[in-house]
Amino acid sequence: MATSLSNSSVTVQQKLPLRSPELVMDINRLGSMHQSRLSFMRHLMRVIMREQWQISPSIVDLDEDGYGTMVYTITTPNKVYSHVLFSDYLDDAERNDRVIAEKWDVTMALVIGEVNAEQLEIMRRNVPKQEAGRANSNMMVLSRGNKSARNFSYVVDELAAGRQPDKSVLAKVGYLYRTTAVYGSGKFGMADWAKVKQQCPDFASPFAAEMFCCYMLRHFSIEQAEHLARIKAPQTSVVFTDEVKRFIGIGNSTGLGMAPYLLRHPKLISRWILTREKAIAKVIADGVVNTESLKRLSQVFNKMLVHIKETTVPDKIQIRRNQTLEQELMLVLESLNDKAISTWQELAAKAEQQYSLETQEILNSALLEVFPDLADEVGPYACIDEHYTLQPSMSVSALRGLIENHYAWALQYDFSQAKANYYFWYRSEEKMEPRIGERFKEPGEENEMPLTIARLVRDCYDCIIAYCDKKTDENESDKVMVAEFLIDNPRQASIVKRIQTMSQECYGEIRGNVADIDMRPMDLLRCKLSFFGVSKFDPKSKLWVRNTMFQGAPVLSDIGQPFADDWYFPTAQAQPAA
Amino acid sequence: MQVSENELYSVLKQAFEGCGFDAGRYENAAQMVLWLQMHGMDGLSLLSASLGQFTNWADQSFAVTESEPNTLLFDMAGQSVLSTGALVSNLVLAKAADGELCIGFIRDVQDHAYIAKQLIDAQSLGLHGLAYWQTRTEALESGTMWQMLRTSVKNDGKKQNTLQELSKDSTEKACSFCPCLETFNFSLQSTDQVGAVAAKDQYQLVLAYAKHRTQLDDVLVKHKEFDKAQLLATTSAAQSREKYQYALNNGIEISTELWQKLVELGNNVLVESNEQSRKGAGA
Repeated sequence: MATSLSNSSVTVQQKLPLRSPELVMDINRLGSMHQSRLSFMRHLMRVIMREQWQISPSIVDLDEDGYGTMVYTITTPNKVYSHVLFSDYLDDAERNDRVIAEKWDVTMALVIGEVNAEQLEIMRRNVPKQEAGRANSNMMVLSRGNKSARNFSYVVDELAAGRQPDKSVLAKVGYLYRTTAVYGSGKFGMADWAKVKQQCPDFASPFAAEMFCCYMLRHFSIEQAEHLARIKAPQTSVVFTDEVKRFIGIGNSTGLGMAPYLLRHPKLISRWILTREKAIAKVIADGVVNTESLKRLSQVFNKMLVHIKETTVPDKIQIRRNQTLEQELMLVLESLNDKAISTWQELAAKAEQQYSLETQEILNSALLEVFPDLADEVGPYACIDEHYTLQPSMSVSALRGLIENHYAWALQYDFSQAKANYYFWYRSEEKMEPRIGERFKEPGEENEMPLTIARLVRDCYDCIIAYCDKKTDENESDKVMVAEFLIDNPRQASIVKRIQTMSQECYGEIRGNVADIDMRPMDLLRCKLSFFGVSKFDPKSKLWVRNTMFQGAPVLSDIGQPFADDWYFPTAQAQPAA
Repeated sequence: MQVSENELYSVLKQAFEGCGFDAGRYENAAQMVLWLQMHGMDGLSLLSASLGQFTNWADQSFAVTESEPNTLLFDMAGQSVLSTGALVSNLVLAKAADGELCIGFIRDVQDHAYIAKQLIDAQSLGLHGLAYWQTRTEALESGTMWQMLRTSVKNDGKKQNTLQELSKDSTEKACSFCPCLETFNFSLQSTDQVGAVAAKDQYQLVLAYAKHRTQLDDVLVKHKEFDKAQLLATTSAAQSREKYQYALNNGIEISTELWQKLVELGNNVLVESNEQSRKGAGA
């Protein structure tokens, strides 16, 4: 079956129909997505390895406690950049991963061009202050991180004693530092995204500069641990082996702030999801099922299975989900071993009928690994201008039709029920941190952020009905234009613009009510983090999650060496090449 | 201080929200200010003056009548274009899309230049736009000063000295890859007739949208008082783009006082923090 699908400027011919928005954009499914070879980190590493970026320290000024300044110079085929990092003393009692923290173990920035002494001094005064400091238009990323105190001390002690850290320890917590915020896109006076996209082709893909900044923190954490071990025991200390180094990632704590981003960027999310869905459909349609591909898929699944088994989290829901995933992966592996698969479509359909959402989505990630060339024909993920255009001459009846056809999911909620209207989203006076409050218990509802798209659509729909009822002649309401409706209903302008714009997109609107009592912001966070390419989701509540970035990725000394691009779902034990 | 485009947009949005604008309006108002500022038209100075002048931003009532087909009369009761300019512009635009040309006479309105962003939006919908008004910041002893904005056309480089000459070059298409505006400043000699019109309509903004550029030229031709208009300064679309590029490369200069004022207005939408609210972020 051939389907022509148009999305903005992209028109593709699909042999298989894409999965429906109702299925894909369900908030529970989005909260079950996994990293894939299309993810931002994977794409960035392929670029770095292919173009052989040169990354070397240009200023090394660390004292015997590991505090001081490091500047790395990054030379790509296109440009020179600097990664500037300040390492400072932080009392254990002050270490806090929340956005509202005001001190960190390290603070850092990624800068266009080389940094001279004067610029470095200005940065020294501002970067450690983070939100309270000022950046300039040559800075692309501002970020900070905290030590994973227990892991960091353990690793330094082991190196000092002449031993490599136990990889099983790193399998549990696979990093020495956690990033707690990574800012880009013009925040605090930094370069706007439009400038980065225009002038820095190396970072012109989604979140590439932000991901790279985290990658550099990973490298610094390795160098700092080796430095401290050397000072502690100059006679006995060793450096990490490359194998251990690769298994050290960078931790990340992500809170509620990421959720509004998804709700405010439906065009961008639509573009990413569409890319992913096109790649999945292409692989399922064009990927040949034969002994070799079945074997590759078994190897990929085995690697994923070991990775899941090595992932230890305290969250009971996530433990259950991981256990189910393990069991179902075993079942899929059995069916592969029995060679009971004739088409990938059959396997996907079986998964959809019989397995959990986690398993269905990890299967999609696995298939993309088995057929990388097919996946790459569709990828990578791109950026899009999140601009909505009002069509003022559209008839009100046409607008009503758009809502009924494209937003039927939003009309199903009954917002007169307290349960459906339980939470409200707002910005706190503390660093404008996004938070959710209980509508009927907490103050601040009057400053609710307009993020509950389903309710906004419902309100707009009700206004349209009331407006049309006033028009006694049916033909008249057919002729009334949106611009006229908005004169009487100016508060609807924003959601009308969104409805008109998003009705032309394939995906984008998240099917869920983010004000509902059962809503899990975690699902939104996980969706975006899967596009980043993180692993080892470790929910700390339904509001924030720890995870691991770049674990298994090449280290700097690997640049220029052969690259298999198989660092996904890293495991402590080496797995057979897939 | 230097700020980025994105940073200024965020602060403007929140400031307008803090003034009582609802979601549709605070986005429009922020975009209007930002567009002018990024394109070298001093949107922040205009805003600084407006913030001191307006207190009741939440009021957005106005009267509209259709005096004849595709001619709308608006009475804005002294409001700023920031407040309701998008609603008004959308109505004129919709009528033009429906009937090929629509002119809006928008009376008793302030901050005319902010209409620029609406012209740009019209261009993205395939319509041509034109707006003009009498400026009050400069005056000549012998006449009045005016400003006109229109969506861009390619220019063959020929120097043009009158508005009528500008109108002759009407066949070229708008710049499709980058919507942008040309700006014209011109003067009208004082005559009894023109003087009376100018005095009566000194707060009026004339806004026209059309499917075909020649229809907008006809709007100018009908204004007999423009026959003797003297063109004083123009800003081409290319110059406008250069200013945007400069601002993008180097950031936007804004006074600390205005920045602080905007931040304070934005603080109106923040919710007080306490132990309970900290739990609402996962504490």
